[in-house]
Amino acid sequence: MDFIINLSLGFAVAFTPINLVVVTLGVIVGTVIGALPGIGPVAGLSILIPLAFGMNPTSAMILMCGVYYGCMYGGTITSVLMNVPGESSSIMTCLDGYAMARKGRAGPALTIAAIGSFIAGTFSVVMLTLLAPPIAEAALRFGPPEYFALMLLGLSAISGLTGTSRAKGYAMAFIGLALATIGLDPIGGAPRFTFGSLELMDGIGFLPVAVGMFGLGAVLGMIDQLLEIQVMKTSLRDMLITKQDMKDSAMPIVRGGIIGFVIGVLPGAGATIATFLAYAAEKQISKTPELFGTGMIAGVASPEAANNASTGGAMIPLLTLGIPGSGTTAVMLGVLTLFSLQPGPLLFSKNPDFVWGLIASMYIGNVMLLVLNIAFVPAFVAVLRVPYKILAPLIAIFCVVGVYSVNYSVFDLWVMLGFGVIGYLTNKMGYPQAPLVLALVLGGQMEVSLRQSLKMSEADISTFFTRPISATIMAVVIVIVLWPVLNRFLFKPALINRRDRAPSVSPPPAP
Amino acid sequence: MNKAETVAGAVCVAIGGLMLLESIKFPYFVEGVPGPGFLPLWISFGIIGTGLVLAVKGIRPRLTAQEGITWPEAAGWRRVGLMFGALAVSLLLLEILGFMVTTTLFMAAVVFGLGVRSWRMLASVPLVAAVGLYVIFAVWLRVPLPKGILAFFG
Repeated sequence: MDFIINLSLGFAVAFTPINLVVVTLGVIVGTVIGALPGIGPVAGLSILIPLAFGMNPTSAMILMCGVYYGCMYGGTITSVLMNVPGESSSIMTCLDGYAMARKGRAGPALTIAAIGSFIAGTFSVVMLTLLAPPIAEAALRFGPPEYFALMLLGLSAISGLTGTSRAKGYAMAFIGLALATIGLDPIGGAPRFTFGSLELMDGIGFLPVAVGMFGLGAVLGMIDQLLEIQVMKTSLRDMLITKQDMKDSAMPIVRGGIIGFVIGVLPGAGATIATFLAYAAEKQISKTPELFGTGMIAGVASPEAANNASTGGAMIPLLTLGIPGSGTTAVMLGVLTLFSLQPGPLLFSKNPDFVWGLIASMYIGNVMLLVLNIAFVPAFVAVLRVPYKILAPLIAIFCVVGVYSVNYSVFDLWVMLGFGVIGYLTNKMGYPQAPLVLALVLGGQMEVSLRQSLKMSEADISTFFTRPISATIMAVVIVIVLWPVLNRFLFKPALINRRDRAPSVSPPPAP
Repeated sequence: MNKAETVAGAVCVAIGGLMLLESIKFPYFVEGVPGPGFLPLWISFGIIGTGLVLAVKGIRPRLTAQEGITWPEAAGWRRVGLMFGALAVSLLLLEILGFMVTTTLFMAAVVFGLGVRSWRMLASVPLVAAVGLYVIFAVWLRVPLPKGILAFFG
């Protein structure tokens, strides 16, 4: 019963006063960030990196994770009460959530979302507890070729499978890799692309790029059209749900939780796609699919369960392999590397108090969120009334002070400002930012494992295709990259056939 | 032809081209194994390739179904410009005027520029923001924020 020992160690860490304060802070801030339209988990996490950097690594990651899954709860509030998704993972909740709110049932919609999120979120943390150690153990046998293949998989999945244009995703990934090569060559030590600048010798930091692209980019996007927010009123008394509500949502929560967890583990997919699939699945199974969109409680319970379950799933590849599958987990990886912690299989044996403390805090955080999101909804709604005219400059200056506080470097601030503009423009034009940031975080390590692999094999590239594990991963990478071609030649007839009776769920927009 | 998409593709090609010119300066192979020029060369090919695809798609948008870009209106551009300009000026002033003064001025300028006209808000928001951030970063996280002209008091 290893996991009981591990978890008790974890709870001992998570229940220290500082970590309890941090997890509370994380989930509250996460709920607020989740509720605010225009600023999602990636932007929220990026902005908070400097704050986390002032803490010890365990507390820092507890804060980050708290914000991450807190966001999933918070997004619901805006979807239900305003019909504006707090982020892309709560788009589906708008359909039936807002319809319920218009029928005067906003309270039950929010309550069932909180309960569903809690059950599914806890389920995914249990799965994380059980699955992470064996995966980490298996990964101990990985060599440089396997790691290179894995990183390539993460990168190609996030570039090729999300967003509206594959070419744009790949372009951003290549540019991120290019940025990662700036500075000293990780093996030989020769300066590359520094153009004689002393600042560039250290390379382009992950922090100013992430805060600029996600944080400042979101701020600029927030003010380019000021939206006036209309929020429906709710009171605590309205939050009660009936037995029938519970019965109608039980199975959707279970199904949403399983779908969300599985999608969360897969690289590239993430919370948004999980909600689309969960909603589509509910509609398919339902005896009354035509009633979806008119305020079916299952249409709220299932996607909300799914987006929360995806968070626990997404932590598995991050913690056990050190390979993030989404923008949010890429930011977390960046934070870990700022602390010189190398996520991956060794993390579990070298820093058990860190890993298990973090996992245990996720159980505590989910309980807190359940209470917060039922009892304190009116308080979060009050935050939504803070006008963007004040919020936007406040977040901007927070980014400035935050980035300055890590390296005391004004150069970093200019990098951040530059990437803020790039983030804003790329966002407008449908170029996804996550591939660039992920490529920047993974780039250095990728180059090292590529060159080590080729050194081991004496520059024979077939080494990636002859070792069984790396060959399997490379095969998946090739399928992802060649998907448009494969799709055209192999599956086109079937697809056309299916399009006639496709569900009325369109693919998600770029997250 | 979609101008913005074409320009974006061309920018990618230019970045890739620049990188290509730089990376051929480094050895591709060192003692039979990939050297410092190995990966950069392939990355630059990748950027040029995807950039070309994007530029062609921009020139002939009918080849692919593309969603239109919703650019902000003139007032929106002005707000974005204001925020960017105010941030740039703040970065220039940060080490001269110090954190407190710069933050207060930045907040006042942007909040006013975004259309807040209530004197109470214009006076309180910048001060509360500056003091609040000072407490979080300088007091709690012990970050030596630039003092600038207020150094005399500190």
